[in-house]
Amino acid sequence: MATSKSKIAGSPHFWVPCPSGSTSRSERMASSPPIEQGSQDQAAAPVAKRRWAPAVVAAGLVLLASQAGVWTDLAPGALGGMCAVVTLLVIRVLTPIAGDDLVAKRPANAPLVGEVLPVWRRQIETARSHSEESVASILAAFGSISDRLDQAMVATQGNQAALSCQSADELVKRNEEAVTQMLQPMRETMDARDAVYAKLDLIGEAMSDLRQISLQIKQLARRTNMVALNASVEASRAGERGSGFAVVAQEVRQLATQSGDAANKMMTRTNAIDLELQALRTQAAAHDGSDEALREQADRSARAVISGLLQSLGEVNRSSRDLQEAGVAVHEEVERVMMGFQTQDRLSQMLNCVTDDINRLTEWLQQGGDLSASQAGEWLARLDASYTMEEQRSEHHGNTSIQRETAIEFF
Amino acid sequence: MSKTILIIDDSGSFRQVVKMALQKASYEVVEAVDGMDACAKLDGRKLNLIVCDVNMPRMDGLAFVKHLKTTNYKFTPVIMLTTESQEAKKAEGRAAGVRAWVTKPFQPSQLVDAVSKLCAA
Repeated sequence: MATSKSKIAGSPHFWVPCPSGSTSRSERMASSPPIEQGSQDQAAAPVAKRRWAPAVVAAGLVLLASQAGVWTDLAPGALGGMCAVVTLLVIRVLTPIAGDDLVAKRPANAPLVGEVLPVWRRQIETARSHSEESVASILAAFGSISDRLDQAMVATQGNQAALSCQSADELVKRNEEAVTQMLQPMRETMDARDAVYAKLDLIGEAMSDLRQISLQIKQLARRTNMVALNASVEASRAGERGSGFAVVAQEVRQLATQSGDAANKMMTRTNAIDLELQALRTQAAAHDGSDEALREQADRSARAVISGLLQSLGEVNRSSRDLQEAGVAVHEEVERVMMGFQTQDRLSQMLNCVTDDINRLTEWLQQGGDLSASQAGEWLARLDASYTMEEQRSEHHGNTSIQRETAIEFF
Repeated sequence: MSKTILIIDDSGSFRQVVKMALQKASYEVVEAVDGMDACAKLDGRKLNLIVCDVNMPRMDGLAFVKHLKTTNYKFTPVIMLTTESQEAKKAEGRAAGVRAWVTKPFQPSQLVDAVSKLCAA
């Protein structure tokens, strides 16, 4: 960034910022005793010679005012304005205004300067100190903000890793065991029911065997009845001697008839039970279809729940990503702010240069220095040598100040 | 185990800026307000690197570096972090054993990179 500022050193006509409320050059002129134009011209040469000392101090302060305005983004113009006011006062006190022959005749400016300059130096030092304290306080607050931001970003980074682009199927697969456990009670119930069906099948087979046995008993009863009938016929042929045998044959026929009836009853009962079993099987088959549908429904529900959950988590994920991006942007801003705060150090060094020079001037005057002596070049050279920053030197010489990029030189 | 950096600068706000940048990168920081104060901090503690200003009251940065080379910390790398941009000063620093010269204002991330590089060397 190039800066351009008007310079004053070596010129009898100074340009300085003139804040509202301060005394302007024209006002100062008006407050001075009126003089003739000719007298002005005659007085100009010696007066110009006497202006080197205020020029030195004013140069430093104008330099400071202009750079403070440029560098101090935190309180633009505040320090610059203060320095400008001080600059005007320096000029007013130290500069012998044309025609002010009282000054020319009175080298007694020194006591006044000796008392006023230390006050200005203390004012500058106080301003510098307050600025330093304020910046330190703001820096501490920024540090706290930055730390909290770091903590928030670390937390959201963890969440993002866990939620990165998962589909419902992926999540179901990863959580298959949990889903299986969720459906396990239903599956166990179904298995128990299947075991009951198997028992029913076994009972059905046993009932079929019983029906077969009943048929055999029925056939045996019929044949026994036929045998007993034949025995009765043969007993009647035998006459008196076969009468006892006829009784036995009759009993056998009755037993055969009773066995046949029992077999019929068993058959009837077996058929009834068999019908009941078939009805149970039909009913169970109907429930089998419902169970499959229920299983599918449970599976779909589980996936729907997980899908909804994923959607919500996705929104959280997007928010986290936005927060991350915002955090990175804020970090960049904080980095810029940190660079901005370093102007406090630069400002302090510039103020130190000026206050040191005011001290030198005060001491010099107290030791009987003569404002009329033409030593401006020597004084300015010493001031130039005290600078540490390129900007100070370029401002001192009225060159264009070029903003450098941060550079690190490794040796 | 984190590494310890000694910051020497007479500006409290500037020390704060450097301290924040280094602590964020997990370095431990010891502060000194000038060269004399820094000499008192050379008390046997482990220092992995020193970040030092040039222009300071009582004892300036280059005088401190010259003194450092006479102590047990002579192998501790030093980065000068300063507004001073004169080549003559840089040459004096190089001759005194300074490892890097950073001109203010600096970007905190660049300083952390330089510190990391010199600590690893």
